[in-house]
Amino acid sequence: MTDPSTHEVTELLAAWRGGDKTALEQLIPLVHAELRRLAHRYMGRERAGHTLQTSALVNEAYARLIRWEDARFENRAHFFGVSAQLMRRILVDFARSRRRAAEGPARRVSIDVALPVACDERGADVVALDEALEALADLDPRKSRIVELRFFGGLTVEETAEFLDISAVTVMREWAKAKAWLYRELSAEKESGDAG
Amino acid sequence: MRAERFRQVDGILGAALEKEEGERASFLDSACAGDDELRSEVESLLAAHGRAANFIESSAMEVVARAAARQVDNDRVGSSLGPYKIISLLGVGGMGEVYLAEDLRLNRRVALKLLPAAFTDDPERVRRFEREAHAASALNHPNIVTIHEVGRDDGDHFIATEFVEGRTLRDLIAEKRLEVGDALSVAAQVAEALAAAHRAGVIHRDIKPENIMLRPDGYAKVLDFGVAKLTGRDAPPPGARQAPSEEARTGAGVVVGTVAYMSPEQALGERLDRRTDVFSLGVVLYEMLTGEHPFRGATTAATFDRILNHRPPTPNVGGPVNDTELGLVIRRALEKDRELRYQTADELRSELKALQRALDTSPSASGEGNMAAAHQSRARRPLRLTTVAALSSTLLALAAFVVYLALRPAGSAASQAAPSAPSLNFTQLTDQPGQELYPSLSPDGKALVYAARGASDGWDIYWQRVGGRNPRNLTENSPADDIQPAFSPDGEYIVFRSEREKGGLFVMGATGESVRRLTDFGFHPAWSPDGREVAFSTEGFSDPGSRRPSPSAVWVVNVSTGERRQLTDAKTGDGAQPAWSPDGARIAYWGKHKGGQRDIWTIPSRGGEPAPVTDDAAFDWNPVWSPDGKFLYFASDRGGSMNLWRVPLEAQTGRPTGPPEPLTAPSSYAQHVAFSRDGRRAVYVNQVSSTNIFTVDFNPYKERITGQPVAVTQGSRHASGPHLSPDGGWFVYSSQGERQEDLYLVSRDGTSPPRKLTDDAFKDRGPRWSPDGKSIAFYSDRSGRYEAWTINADGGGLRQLTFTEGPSVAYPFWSPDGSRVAYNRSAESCSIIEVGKSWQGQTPHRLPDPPDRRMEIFWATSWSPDGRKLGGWVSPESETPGMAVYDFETGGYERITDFGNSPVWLSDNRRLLFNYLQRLYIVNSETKKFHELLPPSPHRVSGYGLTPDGRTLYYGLAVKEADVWLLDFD
Repeated sequence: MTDPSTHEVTELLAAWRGGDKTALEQLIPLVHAELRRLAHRYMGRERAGHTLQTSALVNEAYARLIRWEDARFENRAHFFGVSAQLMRRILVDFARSRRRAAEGPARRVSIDVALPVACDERGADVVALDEALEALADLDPRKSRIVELRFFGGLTVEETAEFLDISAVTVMREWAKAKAWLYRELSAEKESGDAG
Repeated sequence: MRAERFRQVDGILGAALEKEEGERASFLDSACAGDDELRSEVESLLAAHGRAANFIESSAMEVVARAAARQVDNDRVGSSLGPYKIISLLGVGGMGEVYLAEDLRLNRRVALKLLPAAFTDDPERVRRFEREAHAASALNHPNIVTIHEVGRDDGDHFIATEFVEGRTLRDLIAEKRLEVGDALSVAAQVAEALAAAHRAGVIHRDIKPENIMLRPDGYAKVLDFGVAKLTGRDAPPPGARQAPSEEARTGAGVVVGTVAYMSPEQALGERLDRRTDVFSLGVVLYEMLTGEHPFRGATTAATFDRILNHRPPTPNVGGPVNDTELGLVIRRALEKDRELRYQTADELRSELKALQRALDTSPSASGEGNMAAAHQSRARRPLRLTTVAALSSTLLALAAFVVYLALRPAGSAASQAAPSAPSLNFTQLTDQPGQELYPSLSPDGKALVYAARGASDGWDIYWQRVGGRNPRNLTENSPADDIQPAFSPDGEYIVFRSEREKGGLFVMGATGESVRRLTDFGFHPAWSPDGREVAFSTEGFSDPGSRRPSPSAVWVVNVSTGERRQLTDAKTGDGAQPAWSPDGARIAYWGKHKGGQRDIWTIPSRGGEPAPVTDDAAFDWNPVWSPDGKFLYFASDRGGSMNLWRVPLEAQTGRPTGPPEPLTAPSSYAQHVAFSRDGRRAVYVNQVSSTNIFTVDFNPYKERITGQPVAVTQGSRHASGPHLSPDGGWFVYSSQGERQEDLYLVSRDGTSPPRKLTDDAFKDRGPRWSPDGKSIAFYSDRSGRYEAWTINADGGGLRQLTFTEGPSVAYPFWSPDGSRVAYNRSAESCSIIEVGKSWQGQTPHRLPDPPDRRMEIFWATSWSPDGRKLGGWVSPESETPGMAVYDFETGGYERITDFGNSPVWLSDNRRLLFNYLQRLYIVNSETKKFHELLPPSPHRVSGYGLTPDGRTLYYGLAVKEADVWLLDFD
């Protein structure tokens, strides 16, 4: 299925990178539409079997927004980086606005939403993760970048490796350590929050 | 400095992660070299790493979208869901959103609960939940919130229940402590509800103040029976046993079912029985009386610990009730060891009632005494609960009387013989996946045998103790199917139908030993009361709708001599599934008469004239005599769905002495009844079935499926024999398997609700799209017999294509150019007509019968896309079944397999999909090589094909779940 917006998104990304700040304003509604479309699929309407392929669903959403082959960048990899950064910005803003709109902290947008029901994970929200990622960037920019690419940009390990020009094994190692650090930071924050 | 320290920690962390877990401690000893701060830093990260396995592994897009999906969708107000119009949002909880809605069919208000997608992700879980909810929906009790409907609309799973105006017990106790009398009344009512549910085999699993509604008139109503199953609350998260500190989180920070009301066995993740509800009710009672929770700790882990290890202090309510007695009741309800607890909710209820009585008769109960003054500091009684509880027991008595009226024998002679109405208890005995059918109780009622599909995929006979959980396979040594077991009257032998050695009836010892042949044909064996003879029928069925056209006859065989005699014949009419009267004088059976009517008859066991028991349009079958000979029990759909009925009859003549009465088992489809010898117990089968369309990615070159199946339709309806339109946009299917068989359209991705093409009592089956996608051929009995028809895709232009006489018409399908339609008839080979011509204006072109005499006749189901060949199979009655291809050019047949049927061509004109024993295969018509496509499953494939690009396989999957239930007549 081709979507008319796909082309548009690619153009806007290029424009934004070229310094056109208004491009972002135009990008946001497109990403939001995609989010809503995805959310709609996740709502009651989600077909039982589809959930086995949620990653396919998400990949589809990313692909609809960003068509790599159309990108007029130095190479595909750079395009990844730009879009991951943008996605981070838009998604965190979106989550932040939702958080404000919702009543009370119980409705915070929680990362463990996406986790399997039986998973014994602690929650952390996208906004808090964004903040923790800022802190991580000060200490270890590469780890922060890997998380940005993978979590916000939806890139695979191989794509991340291609963009950063490091080996996939290194991406895996850094990813594991970054996750541990972020997880610890977020649970510590949560615990102190709970106590107060 | 900070970044430097970070790098140091990071380096050690990285090295530690490369080590085996056991080696990490000693590694850290040396790597941190006494720097305790460094070491604890690394250790905390290692611990985080251990728990962060799934953390941020889903992309942010998914996380944010899912979170957005969970936000309350206020747009729903004013919209419709199935027949329900949503009026307002009542609340949001862990179990989803609850709306006030109006049922437009009945103009009544209902509470409509939408289940969150997170819970409906797992189809298996949803299926289990639906089964449970359907059982719960049969609960009819004044203290249980009635479930009107469990349904889906466009992927939304919902439960429509009685709308209760009132407050939850949670709201009430948050405000004030309850009066002792009120607390006892609420607890007793909840216990009544639980007792009724437990009798029907339904466990609540999540009794807590949030799930108890109090009406202003004092009624307590228990919500959400069976719903807990969906939340997985009956199965705590993995690891809960060791580290119960983690909650059963279900996403978005919502904790479903606080652990605080869990029984110890629930906290430990053990298998639950009804006694878990007794414990939870004990916790609720404690909280109502004291305003405090008996186990709640500062953290979840502490709560778990208290549930498992601490005994709460005896509540000191200081009221007019004896604290010691009340304390003993609570203590016994809260016993950690369920063996020491009240064993039933009934037991707890009667103790609560006794306390209530003591309270009512105590001098201070009038409210004028000193005790009342002592309570002045408390808030005024919010509800006149005690009065209403009295009213509620009156209503209960009334309800019991109505049940008695419904069950009592209609004839006066019979009603004298039945001094009291039976009270019925229903318990589920088996719960294996797939079907457990044909149960038979041992004469003492303590064991049962039944047929089920084992690991080897064949049917075997299993023995199980009633209440036990370890079925034993009695026929595992035989690869052939073994079904329909029946215990002999002395319990020493089992007679059964087996496909071994070309089929027939066999007898074995009660533990599976010494198998010997009894007959070389026949099904449904039934022992005579003296154990000397076995009655049986020539045909066998698991359900009355799936009968083949061939008539069946009842026979009787002598067990020791093997001599046999025929009891029913062409003159007396069709007969199947015989059952002896307890005195051995008559045999009951059912037969197909009068154009498909299924009725029950009896005939003298020595031969003679049959006497009708039922004679109406309902499907009546599966007759079984009660051991006292006064009733004939049977399965019938006369109440709307297949359930258990009984009719009083005269032993000598077999004539009914009153109209049939329902037993109303908590079941959507009940069948296969059998009694213990004393008649105090019976077993029956509760069956649930559905057919849904699935798609799965397919690699046509490797001829393999490459992904996970995706459900296009879902729910408990039947989408049978799907066929995809030539443009790949729409499936057409028939609701065959439901009471009304209509044609439906549903979009390829299932996003729109299915649309009805036909809507009437006629049976419409086997729809196939025309190549131009404008019309659909199908077969239907709308002219009084099955003929081929077409209808336009918009529902108009209904047209009868064939006007045959004799054998009926089935499976019409189109030529690739759409000019012709081929169809099949039961006793002859495939015929072809031109669609453009009227029936009168043409002579159907019948294919030549295959020259190979063993092949007899040829039925086709698919025209090759190049128009040159037909794919089909030879009649299954032939000596050598299998599939063949007819070539229009040569006028000849070529055999391609020795098994299978209903082939469908692929676009390459070479390969065909087909089904064998309800499983899906692919075969190359040139090399004759075949293999199976879908992973093994007990479920049946019904209708299949590929999308136009050949990259997606679609199929209908019929799921049948059948469990054995026990019926106790107290």
